[in-house]
Amino acid sequence: MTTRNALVLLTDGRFPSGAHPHSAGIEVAVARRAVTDLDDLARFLLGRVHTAGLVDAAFVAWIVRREPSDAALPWDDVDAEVSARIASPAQRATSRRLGRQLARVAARVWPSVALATVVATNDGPHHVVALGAAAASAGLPVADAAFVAAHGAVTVPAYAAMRLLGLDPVALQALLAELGPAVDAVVDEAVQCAGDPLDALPCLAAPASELAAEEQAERSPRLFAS
Amino acid sequence: MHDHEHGEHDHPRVATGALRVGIGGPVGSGKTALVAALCRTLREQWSIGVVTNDIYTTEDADFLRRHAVLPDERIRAVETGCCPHTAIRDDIAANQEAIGELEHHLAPLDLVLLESGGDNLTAIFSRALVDRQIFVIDVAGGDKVPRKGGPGVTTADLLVINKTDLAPLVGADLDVMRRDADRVRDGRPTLLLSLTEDPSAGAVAHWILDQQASIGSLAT
Repeated sequence: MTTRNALVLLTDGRFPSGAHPHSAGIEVAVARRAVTDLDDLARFLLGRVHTAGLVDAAFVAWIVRREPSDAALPWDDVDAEVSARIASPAQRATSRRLGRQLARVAARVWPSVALATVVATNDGPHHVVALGAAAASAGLPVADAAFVAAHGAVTVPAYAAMRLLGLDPVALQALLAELGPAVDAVVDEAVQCAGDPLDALPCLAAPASELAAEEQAERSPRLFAS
Repeated sequence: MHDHEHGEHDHPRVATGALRVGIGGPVGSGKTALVAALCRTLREQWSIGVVTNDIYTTEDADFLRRHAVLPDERIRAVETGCCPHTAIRDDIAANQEAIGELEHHLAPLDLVLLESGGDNLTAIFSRALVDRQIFVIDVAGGDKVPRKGGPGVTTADLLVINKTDLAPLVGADLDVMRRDADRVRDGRPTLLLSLTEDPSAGAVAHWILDQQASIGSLAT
């Protein structure tokens, strides 16, 4: 299957879409001593995959289920629905920054009309929109596309935490392996949502994470951009 | 707003706009001071933008702004999340975006200086990101550094051995450093520099002017 190759490329932390300097809120959590060790991190990641992870995966699944098709997707509506689910202005800005970078990179790797369209979004597409367009252009099945989103929601803060806390990298891999069933459950739920109307997609929030994003934007010095 | 999609995403990079010069090297070797000196020396004749890559926060960008080497809007900071070499070599998306924004808002630019976060001797810039790269080491880091080599020392288009005025104080042998550099660099140039003795960094500025001439198709 050619899509197996695309799945690995998109989940590889080395995919050069500018995500490496982002911590998804873990730097603030570490600074507040809310996350001090692997057990704390496990709770953080579990919360994240069931909130941001599910929202991200549902939007990606929704987009991929409809692309490619003859009719253009209502990209403006998708953009508005994603914006409405991100309360923190700092998180919205980060989402568009990551989306811009991902869309440009993916448009060179898997050129498509969908990616060319979202690249042209004013201020850049949200990250999940870019990821949906990228996954669709790479030919990923809906569940695999949702998996990329849910997996990324976990791994970005996990690897940032490893750097900030000097965690045992092997213990971290064991934790990520343990979280596999939680990620799979989120993927299943996202796939179920993929046939729903756009405005019925999950709208879970994590206020502490949103406040952390605002705090991170003002932090100095900081190691991670978000 | 993103009408700079072309050129910067092609590899190898085709210089269609500003000459892009990457400046890398270990922590404390004098990269930011060199960028400041180059801005002062070249800003009258060239339209210049600077992108700094700080390991944390915006220390280097703040230094350049505080010393007013360029107007604030010409200086951008990119964060690198504990991994400065990743941002200049393996995943250059954030730096491409920062340069693209400078080129968009300040067109036409003649020169973009991209300063890496302080890193190790293996750090090099992607050729998709810069047209030329300078690696800066200093004599206080030890006179064995050129002999140790590493891609930064051996393959940079220009090696700058900085703070030569400190050589007698730290027991560094400049002749050894130059000879070792010549041996590992396969004919590529090396310049000895002391910003205390020449605050204009004249020799480095001259080298950059030569690069513009050799690349040719640049905006002037």
